[in-house]
Amino acid sequence: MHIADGVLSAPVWISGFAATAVLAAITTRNMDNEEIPKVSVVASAFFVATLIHFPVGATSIHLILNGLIGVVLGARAFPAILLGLALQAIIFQHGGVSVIGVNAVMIGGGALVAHGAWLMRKKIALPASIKPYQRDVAFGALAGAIGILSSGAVLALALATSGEAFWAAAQFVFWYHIPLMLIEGAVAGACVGFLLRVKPSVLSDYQPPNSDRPR
Amino acid sequence: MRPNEQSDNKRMCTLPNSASKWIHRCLRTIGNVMVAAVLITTASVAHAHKLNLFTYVEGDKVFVDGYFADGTKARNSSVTVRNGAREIVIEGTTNEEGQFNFKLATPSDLHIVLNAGLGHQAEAVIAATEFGGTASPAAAATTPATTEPNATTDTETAATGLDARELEATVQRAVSEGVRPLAKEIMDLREKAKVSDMIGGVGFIVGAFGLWALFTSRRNTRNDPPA
Repeated sequence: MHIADGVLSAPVWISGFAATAVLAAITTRNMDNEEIPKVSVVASAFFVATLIHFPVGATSIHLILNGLIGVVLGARAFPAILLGLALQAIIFQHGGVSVIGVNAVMIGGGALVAHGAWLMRKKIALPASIKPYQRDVAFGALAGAIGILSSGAVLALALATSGEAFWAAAQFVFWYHIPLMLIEGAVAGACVGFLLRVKPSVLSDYQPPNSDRPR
Repeated sequence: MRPNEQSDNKRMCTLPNSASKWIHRCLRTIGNVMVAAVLITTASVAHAHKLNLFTYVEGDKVFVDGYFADGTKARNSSVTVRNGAREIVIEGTTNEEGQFNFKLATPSDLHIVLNAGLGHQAEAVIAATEFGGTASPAAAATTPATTEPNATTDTETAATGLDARELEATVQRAVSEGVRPLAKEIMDLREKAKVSDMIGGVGFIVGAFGLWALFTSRRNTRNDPPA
């Protein structure tokens, strides 16, 4: 998913840096000092997680977790992911250096979209038989999958600018990432479920308990 | 109803309440993690990550070997070879083993680009000086008439040993064959993600945020009235 150097043309990766600068400025405004330890821990986890491969048959996969990061950090997911990506590109050449901006928009932007999906959980009318805990876990899983979906959309868009036909690239990217969407959704849902039971204040958009508290 | 009365009725063991709750919590976590692990291992998706490109030259043949950082071969990936003047010399696709081989008539500086799709790309440069042992095949191609006499003289000199040119070509072939696995291993070592790099990266992140916290707190307290 991380794009390498030399794949995209100069106007594309330059505008990637411009978009990253704008998003970084917006998402780091009024950052409270109390938030900083949480953001740095999650950024470190993102940095390490993409380097851990799970062997699967003849190949291996690694988690991206941008959906989960969007749920936990909210808007601060973007600077966390940006820093993680920059270090991955510089230390491990995982993704090109010139395309750090595009990769940040792709993966960090996906995290922001996932956060938007997480915020929707209170706004959508659901049947009363669904308990708040189940609703939150379901939206956590949805956010995990949407994170990958949005990242895939940006990847297809970026590849389209380098000459590949957009719909062909988009379809290929989409089918290729479906298993990853399912896995990330499951992992995000499991983590959100665990955090809701143990320490729900870690998640973004946390309301202190009254009648909403899961039992 | 007392707060814990319902769970008391359901409890089968005689552990204290807090320990039992903690055990149940751990079991639920393990359950969640196991579900996630099962889903991960049933996935058929790859990978990816860094695309590695290993090239070596033997005589006038160029071998191109593409594989990802986790060992998966780069199958059906496009290879574009350009010479010093940025003109395309040869184009092709890697086979099932991630390999693409081609012969060059005239040695020149080469710039090889391997593209495996989805934004994965790797490049390599080969200098013209790496093409060794081209004297023999080139001479043989341009002077077919003289190969016959050469063959007879070779058989005559078989008893006295190979002539200098044959010897040089043989030695060059043997050395490049021996060095090839070493070169590949060196490249793999260079590309490998080391634990020390990971720890360094995490330290950098924590330090960067720590510095940020330091500067923002200084900024916040600078305007405080003197104690």
